Order: sequence, then C-alpha cells, then structure tokens
Amino acid sequence: MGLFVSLLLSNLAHADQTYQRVQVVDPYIELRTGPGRGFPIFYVGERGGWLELLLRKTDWFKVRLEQGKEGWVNRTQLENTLTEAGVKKTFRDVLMDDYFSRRVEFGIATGTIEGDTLLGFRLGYKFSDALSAELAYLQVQGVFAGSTLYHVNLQSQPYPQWRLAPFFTIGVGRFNNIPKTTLVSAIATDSVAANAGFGLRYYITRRFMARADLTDYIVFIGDNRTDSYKAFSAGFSFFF
Amino acid sequence: MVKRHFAMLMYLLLTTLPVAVLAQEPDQVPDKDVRADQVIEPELNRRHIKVPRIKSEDLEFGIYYGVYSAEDFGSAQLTGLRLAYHVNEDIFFEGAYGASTVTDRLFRQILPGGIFVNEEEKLTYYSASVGYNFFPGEVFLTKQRAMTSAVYVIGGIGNTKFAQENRATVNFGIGIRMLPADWLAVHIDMRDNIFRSDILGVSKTTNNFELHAGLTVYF
Repeated sequence: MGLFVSLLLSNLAHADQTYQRVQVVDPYIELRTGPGRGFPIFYVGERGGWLELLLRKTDWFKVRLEQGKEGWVNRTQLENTLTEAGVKKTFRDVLMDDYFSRRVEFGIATGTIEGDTLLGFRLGYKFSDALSAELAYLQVQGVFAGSTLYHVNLQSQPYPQWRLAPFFTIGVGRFNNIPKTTLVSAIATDSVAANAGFGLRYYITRRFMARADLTDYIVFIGDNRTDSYKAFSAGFSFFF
Repeated sequence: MVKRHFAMLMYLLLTTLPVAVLAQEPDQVPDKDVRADQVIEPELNRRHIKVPRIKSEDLEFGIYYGVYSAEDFGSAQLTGLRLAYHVNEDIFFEGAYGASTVTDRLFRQILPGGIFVNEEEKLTYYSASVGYNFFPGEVFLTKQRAMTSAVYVIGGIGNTKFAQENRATVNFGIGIRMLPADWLAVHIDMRDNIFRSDILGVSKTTNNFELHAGLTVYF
C-alpha cells in the first residue's frame, strides 16, 4: 500500500526535465494515437524534423515533435533516426544493449508428476549465454497429500543461438510432503532431494519464450530408501 | 534404473558444460597503450554528451477491491495487490495476492460445530498468470477525451489457502484496462479460480468466482 502511494506521488510530481532528441532521416515518421499497431496514424512528421523521446512502453515510444504534437512511434521507425551527435549508432546501441543485457528470467509452468498436478515457479540468473542458475519452487497437489519442492539448479544450454534450444539441468533441494488433514495417522516427510532434467525452450519473441521440462526427482527418504518421481511440465518464461 | 538415468543426465550436463564455458572466451581487447610513443599530445577539449535516459514504463503495480465467492462457503469482500510486467504490446505477466474470508454459517445452522474451527476463516491466494491483450483500443469519454484501453484474457496458476490447507489453483478470466493517463490504469476483472477440495467429504472441483476493480500505476 505504501509502495503504491509513493509510486502514485512520484508520478504526480512533474519535474522539469530534458529529453533525448533524435532527427528524422526517413522521408516521414508516423505518429499514432496509442502504443499499439492498431491505433490510427493521426500525424506524419517530415524528414529533418526533431523529436523528443518522452516515454517508452514495450516497443513503443511517446514522442513530441517541434510544433508540439505528441504521439506514439514504433521502435523500428526510430532506428532510422539520427541522434544529436549526428550518428545513428548510439541510439541503436542503447536499444540493443537494453535487450541483450537482460539476465534475470522468470517463469511459470504446469504439468504432471507421477499422475498428480504440478505447479511451478522459476527464477533464473544468466551468467553467460550458455550457463545459468535457477531457483525452482514446485507445488504438487495429490489426492492424499500435498508436496512442495524447493530446488537450486544449474542449467547448461549448449546451443544458445538456436531458436528452439535444448538445455540440461541438474540440482539439489528439499522435498516436503504433508498428508491432508482429513487423513488419519499419516506421516509428513521432509527430505533432501536431487534432480536432473532435459528440456527445450522456444523463443516466441526475444524476451518471451515457451519452455518444456522433463525432470527426474530423486528423494532421499531414509538411509536405505530413495524414491524417484518423473515430472513433465510446460510453461512460459520471460527475461527482464 | 533410476540411478542410471540420473548418472546419464549428469554425464550429459558435465560434457556440455566445458563447451559452453569455452564458447564464452572474450574477444581480444585492443591495447590502450599502443599510442604511448606519440610525441605530440594534442590538447583537445572533448565534448561529453550525456544522453538523457528514456523513461520506460513496462511495470505496473496496484491494488484492487471486489467480491470473492467461495463455492459452498459464501461471498465476501476481497482486497489484493497486483504486479504486472508487459513483455510486448500483446503479452503481459501478472502476479497477484488477494485476501478474503470464507464462512460455514449455513452449515452451522444444521450441524452444530460446523466444518471450520471458527465460523469465519481467512482465505488468501496468490497467482502467476499470463495475459493477452486481444481487443486493444480506445474508450471515448467525451468529445475531447479518449483513453487507451485493452480487453485482455488472462490465465495462470497459483495457490489458495484456507482452513489450514493449501490448494493448487488454476485461474482464468477476462478483464478491461483503461488508461486515464500514461502512468495510470483502471482495471475491471472477472476471474474463475478453480481448485479441488475435499473439505465436505468428497473430492470435487470447485469454481470460485471473483469480480474486482483496481487501480495500477506504471513505473
């Protein structure tokens, strides 16, 4: 609540600020009424005109022309403009860096583990294109018991440049099983577990991807007993 | 058998790791002192251009208030927090946390003692969902004013907790978002939260509807 109020106040307090300016090089630039491909073009800026970049929402930039017209321009059109230094490269680099420096990945997934429904949340950090670490939290709802799994995984992606890329994971964590309160004389389990898996990720856009995982969980229940659970899950992830 | 599978995967991982690390060798960095033998050093006043940052507003945070109708256990007011991230103009991710109450008042009229420990129990849920803006557009308020808007479908997974038990929950719904300003949005949302419950003796799938209105700020 406090966070919400402070965000509200920070947006209400208008500060005088300078904006980055670019010059139109293409014959014209199209201004739309909103940040989306379907919004109508209401004004066309001409070659040589200067634009102030006010705000960015996903791939759309709110710009102000010299005569005061404000509208939304797509990133692809802005890539063909010149900065105040008279070069094209700088502006493009700012955008590109923004895309490629994204290292944190968040994802959700659903699937089955030995016939029961599984829900999973993942938070990953990319050390390099091919190697990342991730925290996984899985929740399993069975007929007689509910389980949670917390895992720390290492993920290797041997072909990061492929659009459909395979990866391998390995990790350790805990397996926690609590029988339903409606059952009598059931014992809760809390054990160390390990996992190894194989998966595929498909980049739908540069930051958004679909992901499927096939994982084998080994739970060390006692000194002379280990259980294995095979899980299949599919979901979505994005970089931010 | 299990251990063999595990060992095989482990082997695969270990054999692919070094390849991945080797592929990351940085390119040759040009030597900075290569021009150290230059006799005349021109005194240049270099212009330092500091490019102002473009403010990016892809995150959305806010609160909502509405009604949560728990199957068999009454309807009650709902308050919640929402955090959303817009990946592109079509897709967004949303995390939500909501709190409401459930009651077994009706059961207590027939069964003294009821079903819950207390007549009113707290219900909390969290969810992570993916949304798709499938009707983007504008809402025309007056002759002079138009607001950007979008009708979206949303679906996801999460957890609902009440009466000391967690229930894996799937949610889906439809909502409308209207933006009075670039940084502010008004939401109206309908959701169905589906989970299995055996609290009444038999295991059944329950539909728990919620309707809420919310306010979010972009940052």
